[in-house]
Amino acid sequence: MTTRPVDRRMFLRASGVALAVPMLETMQPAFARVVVAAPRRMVNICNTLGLYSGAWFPQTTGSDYVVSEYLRHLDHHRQRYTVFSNLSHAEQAGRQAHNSEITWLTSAKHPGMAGFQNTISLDQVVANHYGYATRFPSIVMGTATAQSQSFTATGVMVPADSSPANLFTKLFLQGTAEEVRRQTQSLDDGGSILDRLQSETTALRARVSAGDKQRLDAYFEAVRTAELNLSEVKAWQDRRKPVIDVEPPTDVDHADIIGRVRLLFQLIPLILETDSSRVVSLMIQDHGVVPTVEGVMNDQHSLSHHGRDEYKIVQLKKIEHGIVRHFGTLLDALHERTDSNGSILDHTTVLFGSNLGNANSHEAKHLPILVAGGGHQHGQHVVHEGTDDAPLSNLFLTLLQHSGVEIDSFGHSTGTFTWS
Amino acid sequence: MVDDGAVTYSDTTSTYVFHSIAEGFEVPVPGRYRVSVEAYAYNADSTVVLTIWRGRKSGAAAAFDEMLGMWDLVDATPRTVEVTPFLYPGDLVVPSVAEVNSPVTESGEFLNIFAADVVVQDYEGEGIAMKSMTIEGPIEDVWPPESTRQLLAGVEFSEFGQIRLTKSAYDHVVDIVARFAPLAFRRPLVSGELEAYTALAKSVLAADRPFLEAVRVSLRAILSAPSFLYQFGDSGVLNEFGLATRLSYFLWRSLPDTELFHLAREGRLSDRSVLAEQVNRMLDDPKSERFVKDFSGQAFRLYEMNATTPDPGLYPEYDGRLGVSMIQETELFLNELITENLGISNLVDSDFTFANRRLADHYGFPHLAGQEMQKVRIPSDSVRGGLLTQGSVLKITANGTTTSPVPRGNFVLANLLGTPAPPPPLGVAGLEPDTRGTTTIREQLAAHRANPACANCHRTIDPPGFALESFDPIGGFRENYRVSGGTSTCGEFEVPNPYQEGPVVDPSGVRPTGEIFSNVADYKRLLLEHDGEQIARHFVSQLIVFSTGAEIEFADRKDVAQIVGDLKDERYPIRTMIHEVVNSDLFRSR
Repeated sequence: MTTRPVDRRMFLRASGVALAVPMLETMQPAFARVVVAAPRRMVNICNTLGLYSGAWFPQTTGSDYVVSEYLRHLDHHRQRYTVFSNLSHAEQAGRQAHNSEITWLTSAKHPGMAGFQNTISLDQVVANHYGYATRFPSIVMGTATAQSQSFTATGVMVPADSSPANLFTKLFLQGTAEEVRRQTQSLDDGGSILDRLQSETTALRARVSAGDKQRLDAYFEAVRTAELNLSEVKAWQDRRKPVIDVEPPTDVDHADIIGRVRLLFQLIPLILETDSSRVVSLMIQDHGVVPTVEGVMNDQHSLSHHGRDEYKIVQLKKIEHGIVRHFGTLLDALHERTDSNGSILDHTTVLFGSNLGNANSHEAKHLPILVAGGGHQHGQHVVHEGTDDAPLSNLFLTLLQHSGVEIDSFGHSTGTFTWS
Repeated sequence: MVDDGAVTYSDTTSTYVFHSIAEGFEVPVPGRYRVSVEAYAYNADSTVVLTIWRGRKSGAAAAFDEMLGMWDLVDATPRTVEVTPFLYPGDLVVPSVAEVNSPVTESGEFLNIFAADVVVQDYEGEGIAMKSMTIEGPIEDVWPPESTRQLLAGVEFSEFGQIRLTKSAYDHVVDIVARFAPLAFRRPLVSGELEAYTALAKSVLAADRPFLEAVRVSLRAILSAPSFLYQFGDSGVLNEFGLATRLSYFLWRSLPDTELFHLAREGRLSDRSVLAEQVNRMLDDPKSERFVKDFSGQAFRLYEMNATTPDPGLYPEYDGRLGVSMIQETELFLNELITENLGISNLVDSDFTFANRRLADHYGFPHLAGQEMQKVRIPSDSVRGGLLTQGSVLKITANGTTTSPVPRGNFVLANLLGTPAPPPPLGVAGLEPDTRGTTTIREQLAAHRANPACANCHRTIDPPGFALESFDPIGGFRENYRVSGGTSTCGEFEVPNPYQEGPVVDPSGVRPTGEIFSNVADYKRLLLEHDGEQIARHFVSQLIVFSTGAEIEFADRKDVAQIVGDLKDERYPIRTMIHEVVNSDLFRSR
C-alpha cells in the first residue's frame, strides 16, 4: 500500500514556501561566505540492507591487506580509498532494526523510540557550510522513495528525489521564459506569505504553553530561514543552469534496482563537475520487490535475512556485486573527471557503506564503512581494536574538519578518528 | 480472445503489458473515479481471483503498487465488480488475476507460458475472461466540484465552469477567507486576522493578476500558518474549540465538522451528556475507521505489516492478498470491540474473529467462500482467538524468514502489557537467525540466557515468545519448524528445493512469577487470570497518548488508575473506555 503525498511538509514545498530547505542556523550572508579556490565536496552512499560481511570485509589488515570479494571491483583504486572495520553508532536499538537507517548520517540514539528526535546529518552540516554558494546546498537522492537519511538541525527530514529523469530536469534543463516568470512570481508571493507567517508566529508565541513554544520556535526558525534563503534562491533563478552535453536519462522500472543505482551514480559526477552542489547523499533503499538481476528469485530484503542459507547468500551477493561494481565505475568517473583544481575525486570525500552490519541479524554494529578520495591518506584496511566499536561520529568529525568545516564535535563524537 | 472477452492467464501487474493508459485512458483531473470490470472464470476447476490495481507511470515503465480490490470468481457466470478510487493524472488502473493454476507438463514441471513454442490456443491453464472494463469520472454532480464551490464561497460559475464575480475581487477574497480561515484554524478569527490574510491578495490584484492567483496567495498563507499546522492553546482546561479539535482529531483524524463547531460556538460541547452523545455519533460515523486504522497502525504496529516479505521458498502460501486480509481482520476486530462495547479480555482471547476464504484456510477454520471479510465464530478446538493469534501481529513480529521469541515477547510486553523490557546491554551480540535446521532459536536463546547480564530480562521477555513459537512467520500454526531444502541444479540455474520439516517446536515455558504453561492456550489463560487489569491500564494509556499526543507522565498515572478502577466491575468494555478517556482531565486539559 502506498499513501499519497499529503504530508504537510511536502505541501509547503509544493506551495512554494521552501520551509523544508536546510535550516541554516549558522548561515552567514552571501558576501561573507567563504569562497575557496578548490571547494571540498562530499558524497555519501548507504546501502540500507547491509553488505554481506563475508564478501565485504578483507580478512587481513594494514596496507597489504588481501582484497575481499566485493572490493575486487574497486581494487584498481586501492590507493584512493580506505576500508574500516569495527565502527558504528552507539545505542541504535530502535523500535525496529531498520530504524538505524535514519541515524546513519546523524548518530542520534534509539531511533524511532518514544520521544526520539533526530539531529543534523553529516551532509547537512556541509550543506550549511556552503549555503547557496551553489544552486543547490545539497542534492538528496533515494532509489525508491522520498525517504532520506538527511536531516536538518531541528531533525526534519530533507526529502529525497528518486527519479533520475526529474533530477536531471531540476539540475540541467532551462525552464521556458514563462516557467521562469511564474517561478519568480511564486517566490515573490511566497515572500509576502512568509512575512505574514512571521508576525502570526510572534503573536501566537505570547499565548501558548511552554511546550508549544518550543515547537513554535522550530517553526519560526524554518520560516525565518526560508525567508533568508528566498533572495538567494531568486538570484539563482535568474542565472542559467549549466549546459552539459549529456542525454537526459530515462527512468527504469522500480524492480531494476541496479539500473536505478547506475543512473543516479551517473548524475553525481555531473553535479560536482558543474558545481551545481557540493554535497550529494544517496540512499539505496529496500524496493520490496524481486529485483531484475539475473539469477535472483527473492526480494532483496528477504535475502538479507538469509538465515545462513547458502542458496540465499548466493543471490544476495549477486545484487550487492552489482551495486559495488557500479560504485567502482563512479570512482572511475570521479577520478577521471577534472575541474580547474585537478581530479574531482581528490577534492571529494566519498563515504560508502551501510547502517546494518550483519544484515542476517539486522544489527547496527560492525558496519561496513569505506572512505574514498578527498585527499585523505588511503590504501589500508583500518581495524579499530577494542571490545566495543569506535564511534562512527568520530570518523565523521574527522571528515568534516577535513572538509574545512570549523567544528569540534559531531553527534556523539568523543574525538576525531585518525589513521595513518 | 474469446467471443465475449479477452482471457488473462497470468498476473499482468509485473509485466505491465496492459493497463488503462495503454488502452487510451488518461486520468484528466484528480478525483474519484468509478472502475468496473465484468469478468468470469475461464477454464477454471477451482476458484480464481480477480484483482484491480492502481499504478503509476515511472519513466517508460509502470509500477503497480496498490491493490484496489480482490474478488473470487467461481464459475463461468459473469460477475461485475466495482471500486471507486481517488485517481491522479498519471495513475494507471489494471485488472489482473491470481490463484490461477498453470497446467503441469508430462515431466511434472510447470509450463513456461512465455516460451516461444507455447501457443495460447492450446493453453489449458485457468484464466479469467475479462468482458469489459469501464472507468467513469471524475464522479461529480457539478463542475467545478462541490469542494471548489465551497472553498470559493460567494463566487458564481457559468455553465462551463468559468468564474463569475458578483462584486469587487477583493470583497470576494474577504468572503472566502472569512469562511475558510476559521475552519482551517478550528476557532473563530481573532481581531485583525481577517485583514491580515486578505491583505496578501491586495498586491496581487493591484498588479492586475487574475482573481484566482490573488485568492491563492491568501489560501496558501492560511494553509502554511501555525494555527493550521499545530494544535495550540493555553495551558489548562481546553476551551470549547480546543475540545472540539482534540475530539475530532482523536476519532476522525480531521477537522471538526459543522455540528461540533456549532456546539463549541454555543458553549455546549463540554457538557457531559452532549459530549457523550457526540462521541457516540462520531464512533458510529464511517470516518471513525480512520481512528481504528491509525490507532491499530501505531499501538499494535500494523503499519509495519509490509516491512518484510516472507520467503517464498519457506512460505509459498503467503502473498499480498493474504497480508491484506490479515490487516483487515485486526481492524475489523477492533472495530467490533468498539461497536459492541466488548471487554478488553477479547484482546487476549475471543470466540470470534473476521476472515475470508484465504484466512479461514490459513487458520484451519471451516471453509468460507469469497474474498469478503465476515465475522466468524472460532471453532472450539482452534488455538485462535484474541489479538496475539492473529496473522497480522504474528507476521509483524517475525522477519519473513524466521521467528524469534524475543521480538514476539517484546510485543506482548510493550504493546499489550505496557511493560517494555530495557534495550540489551552494550557489547552483547544478538542472535543470528539460522534456517539450516542445525539449531533452534530456543537452543540459541538458552545459550544466551546462560549469560547473567541477559538472563534477568529474558526471564520476562522470552516466555510469551515461547508460547507464540507455535506460529510461523506468516502466522500459520506449526508443530515443526520449516527448514530450507537446499537447492538443486536445473540447467544453468540453481533452484530451491521444497522446504522440509525441521526440529519440533517447543511452545512451553515458565512465567517469571512461576506459573508453568505448555502451549499458547495455557499461556493465554494465564494472561487473562493475572494480567487483565494491566492490559486494560495499557489500553487506556495508549488511548490517552494517541488522543493528546503526550506521553503519560508519572503524575498522570492516578488518572489512568481511576478510569481503570471505575471499569473493573464491568470488565473493561472498550467503547466505555473511550468515553471515560474523553471525560478525563488528561483529555480535557493541556
